[in-house]
Amino acid sequence: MFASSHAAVRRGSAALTVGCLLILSVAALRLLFDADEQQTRFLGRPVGTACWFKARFGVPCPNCGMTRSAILASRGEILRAARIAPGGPALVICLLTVGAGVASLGAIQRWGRASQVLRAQSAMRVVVIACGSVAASVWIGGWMVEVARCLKQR
Amino acid sequence: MFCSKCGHQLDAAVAFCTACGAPTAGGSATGPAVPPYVPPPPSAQSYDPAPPYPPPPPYAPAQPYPPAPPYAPALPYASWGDRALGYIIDSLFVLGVMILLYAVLGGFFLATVGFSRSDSFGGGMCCLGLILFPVSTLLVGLYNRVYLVSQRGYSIGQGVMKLKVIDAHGRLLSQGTALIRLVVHAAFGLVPLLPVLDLLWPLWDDPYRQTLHDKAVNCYVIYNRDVR
Repeated sequence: MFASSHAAVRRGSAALTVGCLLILSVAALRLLFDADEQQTRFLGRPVGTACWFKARFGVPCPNCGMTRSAILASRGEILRAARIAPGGPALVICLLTVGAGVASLGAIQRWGRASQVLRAQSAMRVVVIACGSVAASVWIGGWMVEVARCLKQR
Repeated sequence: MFCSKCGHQLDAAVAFCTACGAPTAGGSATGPAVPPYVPPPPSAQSYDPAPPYPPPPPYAPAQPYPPAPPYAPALPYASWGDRALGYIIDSLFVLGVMILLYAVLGGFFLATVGFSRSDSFGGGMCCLGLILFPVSTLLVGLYNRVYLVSQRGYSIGQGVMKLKVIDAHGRLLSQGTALIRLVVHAAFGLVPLLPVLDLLWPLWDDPYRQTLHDKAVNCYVIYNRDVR
C-alpha cells in the first residue's frame, strides 16, 4: 500500500499535526474570545455584532450568531450556545471529533500496521461524512427555524 | 394392388393412393373426393419450444472491487502535505480578492444601511463572509484553476509544489471539467466546515488521495515529473 515506511511516517506526521491543529483551533477560540447573547469580545475588546443582511431584510443570515454560539460552545455552554445558533455547537463538536479522528489516523499511520491503517481510513470516511452531514443540517435547519420565528413575530 | 407412383400397397376400391395421393387405376373417378394426403409440415406443434433451462441473463459480471482508472498503478499521487501547501499558496490570492471585495462591498453596505458605530462594520462580516469566500474562489479560480490547469496542468500553488492535475486517462483537464471542479470547490465554501473536510479528504483516501472536488470530476493530482 505504501511506497515506503518513510512515506507512511511522513503521512502520519502530517495527519497528526493537522488533527492537533483542529483541536487547538477550538482551544484558541476559547482562550482568545469571549461572548454572551449580545456581544462578542476579542481579548476583552468588544467587536461588532450587527449584520447587514439582518439590518436590510429583518431576518438573520445563515451565519448570524455563529461566532457567539461557537465561542460559548467551546466554553462548554452547549445549551446556551444552541439557543443563539444551533450550528455553533454542531460546528465545534464536529471540529473536535474530526480533529481527534485525524490525529488518531495520523498516529496509526505512523506507528500502526497496514491493516489498522485501512480500517482507520474507512472509519474516518464514515465519521467525516456523518459529521459534515449533521453539521450542515443543523446549521441550515437552525437558520430556517430562526427565520420562521422572525417572520412569525412580524 | 400397388400405387403406380410410389408403390404403396392399396386396397382395390380406393381411388387415390393413401401414401402419395396419386389417383389409382382401380378407384372410381366419380366417387367422393378424397383429399390427397398432405404430409404435415414440420411445424412447431410437435416441438416443445420450452427449453429445459431458462435463457441466460444478459452478461453482468459481479465486480467485487471498483474499477481502477487506467493509470492507477503507475501514477505518483501527490502527498497530502504538498497538496495542502499548494492550496495555501493559491488561497493567498483568494484572500487578497476577499479583502478587496470586503472593502468595496463593506463600504457599499455601510453607505446603504448607515451604521453609526464603527465596530458594526466588522460584525457585518458574518453574512459577507458567507458569500465572499465562494465568490473570491470563483473569481480567482477562473484564471488560476480553470485557465491555467486546463492549459498547462497546474495552478500557481501547484506549480510551486511541482504538482499536476490529470483526468482518469492521464490527459490534462478540459476547460469544462476544470470549471465544474472549481464550481464544486466553491460551493463547498458555502457550508461551514465543508471546505476543511474537502481539503482533509486525501488523508484517508488511499491510494488516489483525491479531494471531494477531485472525485466530482474524477481527476487526480500527481507529481509533475516534467519539471523535476
